[in-house]
Amino acid sequence: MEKEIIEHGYSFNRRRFLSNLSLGVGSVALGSLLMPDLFSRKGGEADAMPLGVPHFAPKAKRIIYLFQNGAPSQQELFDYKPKLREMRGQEIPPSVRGTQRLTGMTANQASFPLVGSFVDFAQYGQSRAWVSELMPHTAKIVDELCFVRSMYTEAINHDPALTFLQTGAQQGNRPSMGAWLSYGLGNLNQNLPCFTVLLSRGIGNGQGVYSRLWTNGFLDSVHQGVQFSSGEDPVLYLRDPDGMNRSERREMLDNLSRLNDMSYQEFGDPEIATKIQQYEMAYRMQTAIPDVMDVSRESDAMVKLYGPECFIPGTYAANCLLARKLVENGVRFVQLYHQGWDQHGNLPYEITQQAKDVDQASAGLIMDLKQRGLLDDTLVIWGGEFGRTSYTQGKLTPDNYGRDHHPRCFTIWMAGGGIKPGIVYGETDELGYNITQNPVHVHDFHATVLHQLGLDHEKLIYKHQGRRYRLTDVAGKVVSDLLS
Amino acid sequence: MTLKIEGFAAKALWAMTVLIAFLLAFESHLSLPLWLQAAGRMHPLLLHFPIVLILASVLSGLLERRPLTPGWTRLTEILWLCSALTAGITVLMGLFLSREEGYAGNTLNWHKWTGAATFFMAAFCYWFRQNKIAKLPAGPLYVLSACLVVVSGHFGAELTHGEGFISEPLRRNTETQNVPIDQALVFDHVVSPILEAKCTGCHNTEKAKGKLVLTDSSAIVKGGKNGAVITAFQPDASPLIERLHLSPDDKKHMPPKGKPQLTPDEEAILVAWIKAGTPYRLKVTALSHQDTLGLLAQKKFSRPSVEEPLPDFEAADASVIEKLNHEYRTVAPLSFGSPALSVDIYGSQAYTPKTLEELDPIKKQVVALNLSRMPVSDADLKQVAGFQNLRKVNLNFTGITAKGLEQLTALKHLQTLYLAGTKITSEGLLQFLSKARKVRSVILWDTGIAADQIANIRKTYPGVALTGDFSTNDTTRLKLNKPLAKSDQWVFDEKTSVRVYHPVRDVKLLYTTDGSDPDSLSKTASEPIVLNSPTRLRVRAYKEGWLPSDVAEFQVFRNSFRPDSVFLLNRLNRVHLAEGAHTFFDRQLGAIGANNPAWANYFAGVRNTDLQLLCWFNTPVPLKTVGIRLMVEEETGIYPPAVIEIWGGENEDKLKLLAKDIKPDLPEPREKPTLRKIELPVHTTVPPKCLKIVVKPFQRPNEGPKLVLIDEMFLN
Repeated sequence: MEKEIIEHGYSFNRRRFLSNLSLGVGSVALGSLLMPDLFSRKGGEADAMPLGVPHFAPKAKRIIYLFQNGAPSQQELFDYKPKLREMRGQEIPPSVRGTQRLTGMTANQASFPLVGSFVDFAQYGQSRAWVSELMPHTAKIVDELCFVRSMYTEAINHDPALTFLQTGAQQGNRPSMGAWLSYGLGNLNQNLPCFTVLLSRGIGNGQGVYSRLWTNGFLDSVHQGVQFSSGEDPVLYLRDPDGMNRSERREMLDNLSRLNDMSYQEFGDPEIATKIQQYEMAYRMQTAIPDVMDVSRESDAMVKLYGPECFIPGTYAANCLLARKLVENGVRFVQLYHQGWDQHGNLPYEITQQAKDVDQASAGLIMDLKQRGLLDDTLVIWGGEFGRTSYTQGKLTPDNYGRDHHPRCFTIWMAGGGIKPGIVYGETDELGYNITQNPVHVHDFHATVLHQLGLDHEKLIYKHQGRRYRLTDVAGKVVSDLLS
Repeated sequence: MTLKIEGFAAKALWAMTVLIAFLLAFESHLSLPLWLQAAGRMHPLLLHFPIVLILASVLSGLLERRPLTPGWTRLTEILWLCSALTAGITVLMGLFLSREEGYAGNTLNWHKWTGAATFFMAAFCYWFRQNKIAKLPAGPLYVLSACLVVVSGHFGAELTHGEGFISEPLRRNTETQNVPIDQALVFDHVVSPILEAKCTGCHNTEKAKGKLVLTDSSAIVKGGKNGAVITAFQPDASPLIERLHLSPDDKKHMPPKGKPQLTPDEEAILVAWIKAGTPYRLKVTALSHQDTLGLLAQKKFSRPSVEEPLPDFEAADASVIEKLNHEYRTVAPLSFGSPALSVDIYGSQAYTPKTLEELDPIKKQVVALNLSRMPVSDADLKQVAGFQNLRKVNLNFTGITAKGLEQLTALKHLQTLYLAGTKITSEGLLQFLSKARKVRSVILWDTGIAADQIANIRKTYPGVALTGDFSTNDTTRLKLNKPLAKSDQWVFDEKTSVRVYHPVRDVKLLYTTDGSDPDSLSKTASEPIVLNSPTRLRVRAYKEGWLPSDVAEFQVFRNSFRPDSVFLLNRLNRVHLAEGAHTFFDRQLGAIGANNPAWANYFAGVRNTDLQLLCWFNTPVPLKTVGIRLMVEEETGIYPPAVIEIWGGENEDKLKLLAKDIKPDLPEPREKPTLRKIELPVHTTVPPKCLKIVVKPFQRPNEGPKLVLIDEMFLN
């Protein structure tokens, strides 16, 4: 045998090597004829799609994201777990809990007693979705909603989790979802910002929201979210100073833009061009914003739909009504935050109040969009940044308990925008601690949302400091089961 | 000669191996000339060669030890070479074919990689036989190749014939979607699918709950353990329908609680079918359009399952589109590469009929038009009717009427129409729908077309989705929210006025000033309420058709003597500084809630020292009371002070104790946070020019002192 190997070595001589090599190179050359752009430098950029146009026909044109900041407890709202009530006070089985990290708030807790919901649940609609008594209005419209009970995230504390859901990264220097949409799709109405932010607060334990959640990150600053405040001036610094009329303003802007243009010609800094655009938009917003914000012409029917708080600026209900008015006027992305869902303790009282704040207005918004025919192409999302634990934080008393942060499962709902209505997707185990079916990661969620707006999440790319970035980073899959 | 050909073929095989590996590695960059696409389509023809050849090679390889004829080994070798070559060509063609539209998904991936593996395996088998370098057992290699051929072939078959092609005859065909309406039977294609979706999960031949089987007509006639479930022509007397109508909580309700329930339409179909005498062989087309069953059955079939593809029209010139875009008009393609355009118009003040006229150059390409809230009149719709390819028009809250709508019948492709908030009438809409055949959805909310009229239109046009009002018979009365109030001076010296208001229109606001609850006999707050003493203003809102609101309470405070200068003798708590000593006389009321700016800015406090505040007045003040407004929040340790002392005199060196309070009203554990006013009467004959106010934090034995947070002080 050894001899044969040596002979084989001799037989594989230089001539044969070279002829095989040339054949191989020839084949590669032949193959490369079929790939005209393989060796050109375009590469990734060729994959990126042109901006301002959906990559494919979109189902949704606009998004309203009803962010429930602080992480609402899924066990008390949408994820019905009767077993938790049966096992009240018992230790969570180690097989269920596993070995993953806990927050600093409960990691040192001596025991982890399970606790069930203090409210009852019932099934509603055609879809027989379980909804708790805390959400009576939402229960009425379950057939419009798509519940995802198997969302999960990677972060365990509010700020990173919130930042992760909004920007696709935990650290917070990336563009927000709304900024990506503004970048990828552009404005529908040139007189209003593409991406607007509305804040409200419940009485529950609150967590801060910061302007970096609606940041443009490394994108042009024109894509930044514009916060509308509830005071006299919805958009700050928009009003003309006392004593200046509109024609003087116009003249001032014209001169200013001439100056800006000169420096743009000289330095070529794109931020200068952005600035010129922003001045112009602000000028147009001076008339467009009061028109949108005016609720005085809304009928009593609206109050019945959204609840009587909808005319009090700064409430969640008012923001929902405003969100409808904004999307009706062509705003692409309306981001609401309702603070106060962080029930580490005193959960029964606080969550009841929080649910009261949002239940009617959220359901009202869906029906209002539907009756105007806007729900078909408006995607509404309701949810927090993570879930809450099945065991109690702190002491379990007969009428009081709390729940800690739980990134391993939480429930959100979506409606409209080509999302399948009347379904409940994903499942958690009977203790509501781990996902047992159809997990949906934050990146998958982002990929799905972008897909509904006609954007391929792998092709919505921005090159920054030598790296190509996406909202979904390097992961994410469209959850096609959710699409109608 | 054979040797030469074989050598040539072997080289070709090597080249092909490299080529395929290369193409697979950079597949995403592949772009094919047309003639290669044509070659790709040869794949389904060619693939039969490698299948047969590889199987033959495997067989021949396995029989090698007992050759049937001389030269068997040589024959096997050539067979393997041919197998590998044909497999290679097939893989190449397959790769080309896969680049065509409509090939994607998991099955394709599996087929691609198993197919490529088959080729590499065949090539390896050939080389392995040529150069026996390793001591690999040949048998298993051959068997593996055979398996790969079978697996890859199977995936290929699934791609061409659809998934589950082989097992299809074994399964029962339940698909009805594809039955054309003229062949559809009422029972087989309308009634039976409902039973199958909602009933036969339990009532089938295997499970037969209640001994009832609903899978075929004879079993349905037979009924269950309680006899027949259907009485022909009498739905009310049929247990099948009875069970549907029971309360969902009833044990006998079907389908059982928790299982998918029947939709109203499905229920109506079953009822109508029984009413019609349970026809089993009747055709759907034989039903009259006026008949309930006929309408429902038609509706089931009339629903378009897929959106109609766009007709071919050329794209408009990019420069034209760009020119038409301005601040109040957005013209954009539906998606990348699509010639279809969508137009959105905003800014009702900027709108003129010209806004539409200018769109003439792209009238062929516009498929979606949004005119919502624009002052569009019937006359403008003539222009809209010229956009021949329109699919979707949004006319919500515009000035159009039924007359204008008539013109839109010219739009042959119109599918979705938004008419919310317009003056459209039921007759006008009926007339429009009779001509606009393609319309699938109309938004009719807030139009004055009543719910029963909408129901009528629905009956005539079951294929059209009509969106009306959702809360027609909603008689629940909502509770008004609390009234609100504004005032320039919540803390005043002589008098102040408070304006109470409510965001809901036409609300009656009734109030009291004596601390009692307002009722329907209380005073009406139509104008600002003028107050000249410290008051608890209690207001309640009333409106017809609504429940009255809860009582809102607003407090005004009086501070007659504002010190001319103030000074703190001790330091405030480091994080509760606010505006220092001025905080207590700034006339700004604090509020509860750590996130509220009024919390951080209007409360100042002490914990580890006493608060000692000196106040000077330019002229002596006839002081009668000293009031202190403070916050109490048990949970976070904000308590009322243990001791309050008021000292007064001519200057800071000649102070006498004027008043003292040593009985703090301590909060209960977990008591809700409150704002309190503690008032001390002052007894002095000589009006002081200087005051010293001392506040000592409360402290329990063996615990740290509690925080005292003071909002305002009232000197009267």
